[in-house]
Amino acid sequence: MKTTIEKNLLECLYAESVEFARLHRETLEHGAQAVDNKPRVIVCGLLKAGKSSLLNALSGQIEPEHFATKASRATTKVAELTSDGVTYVDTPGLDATVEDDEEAWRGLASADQLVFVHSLRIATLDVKEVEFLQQLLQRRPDCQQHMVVALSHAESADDDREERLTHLRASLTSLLGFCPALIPTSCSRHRRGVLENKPALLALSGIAALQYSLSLVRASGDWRAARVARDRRKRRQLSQLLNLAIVQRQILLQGLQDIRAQQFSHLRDDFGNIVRHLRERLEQIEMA
Amino acid sequence: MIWILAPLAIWAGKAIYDAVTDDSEAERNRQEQESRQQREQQRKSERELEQRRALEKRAALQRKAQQDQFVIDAQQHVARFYDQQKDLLVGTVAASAQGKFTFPDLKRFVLQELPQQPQTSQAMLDHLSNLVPGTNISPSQRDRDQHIASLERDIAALQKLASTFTQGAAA
Repeated sequence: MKTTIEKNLLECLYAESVEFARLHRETLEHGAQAVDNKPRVIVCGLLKAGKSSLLNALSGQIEPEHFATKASRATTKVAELTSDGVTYVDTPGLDATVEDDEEAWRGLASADQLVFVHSLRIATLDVKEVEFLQQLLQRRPDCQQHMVVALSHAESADDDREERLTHLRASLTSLLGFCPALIPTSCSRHRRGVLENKPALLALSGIAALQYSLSLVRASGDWRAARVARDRRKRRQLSQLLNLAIVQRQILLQGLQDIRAQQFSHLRDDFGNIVRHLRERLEQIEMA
Repeated sequence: MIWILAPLAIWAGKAIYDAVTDDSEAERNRQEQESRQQREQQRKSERELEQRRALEKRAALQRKAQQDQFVIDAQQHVARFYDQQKDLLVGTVAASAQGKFTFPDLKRFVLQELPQQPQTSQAMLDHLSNLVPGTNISPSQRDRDQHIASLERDIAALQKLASTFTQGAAA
């Protein structure tokens, strides 16, 4: 139970530092997630990159869909689904609105596994994607161990797939300093494969390969240690930010205390002078 | 014979009469002199008493004049003192200092000592209010005091919060 002072102070810190607000919220959310002890697979990418479709495929929610895909901007809030001991999290598209971006980052903060969705139809990183990946390196320095790139709409790039993959590998390596696993996927093939019971289409869809890639990391259990390490790092950062806030207030306090001490000093001096003067005058009067 | 004795008797009688008469005259003269001396002494005492009373009255007037002058000067000094401290103290002090201080008030003022190391404005105010009723802390100083108190509270709360994160990071 927080006191009013603590609440006001937190509001003040949130207003002072966006970084503090983010880390604090994430740390509180981590506390809640630590309880369920399930790996969180977060999917992110541009609007209409195919995030929700991919999550439906990964979680086996083909008919009916769990994650809405039809609307032009179907996901505006982080949406979750727990299936087979894994929590799948959908995030708003990165290039929609500032609020959507912030919501996406909130979801990404708790990612044990991160699936970055990029359309193989385009195969060139958008400015927004570049910005996002640059920020990702700062916000999630551990992303190399937990990141997979799912290349959606693979069915549209069957002819020059390798060429596109090579181009993307180069771009990502140049941007991130490493190249995450690139897994071409096709949700439409997967959907047809499931609905029409066609194993060949399922195999071609790449969903199984993506699931396998994700399951390898989950099986190793590294995500738990990474989650703890991430939480500790955030707590250290929070502690540093709080120490900075303390120092700033101490400097301010010292300044105010100096002014007050100076005023008191003047007051004492002036008071001493007047009292001395009046005492001398009184002595003269009483001796007369 | 009778002619001889009669004048003798008259003479003798006169002589006796003269002798008795002389004695009472002398006595009367003496008494008159004594009485005069007493009156003179009394007049002298009365004059001395009057002079003493006049001296005392003059001294009292002088003392009163000195005290009045002291009060006027002291009031001006105290008013100036409060004017110099106006960033710290305000209130009805200026009005008080201008005309309401009495000699005993001012004696009380000069007999007091300010605390050497007052920690808060309130401590100073309590002391000065005791000397000069109507003294108040200025709004700017009150704001500053509140800001200081709030910063001290915030720092304590931040240190507590930081320690929970430090412990969490180390766990």
